[in-house]
Amino acid sequence: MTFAPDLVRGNLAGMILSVLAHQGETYGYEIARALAEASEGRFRPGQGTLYPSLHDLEEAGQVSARWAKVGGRRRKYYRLTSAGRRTLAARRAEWKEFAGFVGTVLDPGHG
Amino acid sequence: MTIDEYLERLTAGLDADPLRRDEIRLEVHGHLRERVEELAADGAERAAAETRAMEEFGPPEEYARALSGPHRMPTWLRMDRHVARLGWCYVGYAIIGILVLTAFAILNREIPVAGVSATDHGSGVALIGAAAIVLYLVVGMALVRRRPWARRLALAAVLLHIGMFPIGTALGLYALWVLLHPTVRRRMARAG
Repeated sequence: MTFAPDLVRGNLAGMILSVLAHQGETYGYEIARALAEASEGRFRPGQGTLYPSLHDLEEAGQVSARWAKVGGRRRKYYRLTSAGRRTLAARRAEWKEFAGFVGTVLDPGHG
Repeated sequence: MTIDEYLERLTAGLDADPLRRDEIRLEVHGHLRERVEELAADGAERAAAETRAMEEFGPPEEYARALSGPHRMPTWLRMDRHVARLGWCYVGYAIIGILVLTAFAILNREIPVAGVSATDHGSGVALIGAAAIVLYLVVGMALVRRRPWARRLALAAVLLHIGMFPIGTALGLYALWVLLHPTVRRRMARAG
């Protein structure tokens, strides 16, 4: 079962920042793999539109990007900027609060 | 549909300049190729692997829309871009301040302020002007770097220049719109 597209789309940018924080400089396919692995195969790049999010983050200065040739292939590598690091901290805090709130409302027995 | 046909459909729907379109095509092509290779290494036939890779990516037209749409960016990210822009505006405003201060110093050998001759207070006014310029530079760079304390400092700076029509007023109104936006308030409070 895959995740609801809205859930993924709303949180994808934050998740990408988190993957970049853990992996350092990497490219789109590896980010997609990391997300698929973390979701046990339930994340699909087309679902949350991975590349649009990466381009948005690049445009907003949250990640920097460079093209490199590796093994005869041109790849676009992304890296977290210091602004991206701060955004990630803010998104984590926001998500924690929000998840707590949703959990309390949806599953009051376990709140 | 082959991967080339998929990429043709994707790029045909993109609302982007040719250079950016080529970059997106190259990036998506690389992704699909790696996915096909991974699936083929797991034992899938090439044609089946290609079909699956494209299915996972989603319909090309939908993807092109997501890449080109004017409202594709989430609010928090859009506002974050405004914070950076505002930062550069402050840097620009400080540079204008430096030029004005220098021009007055050279042309008049004194620095008038608010219609009052500054002959006796020239150095004092210059000091205040220089302090304001330093403040705008600090605010600008702090906003560009999204420092959590930058928001409060920028709001204080607004009080200094919002009355200076037209540039100071325009910058002040833009700053208020950005800094008082709920998303920016929330985000900068949390980043601290």
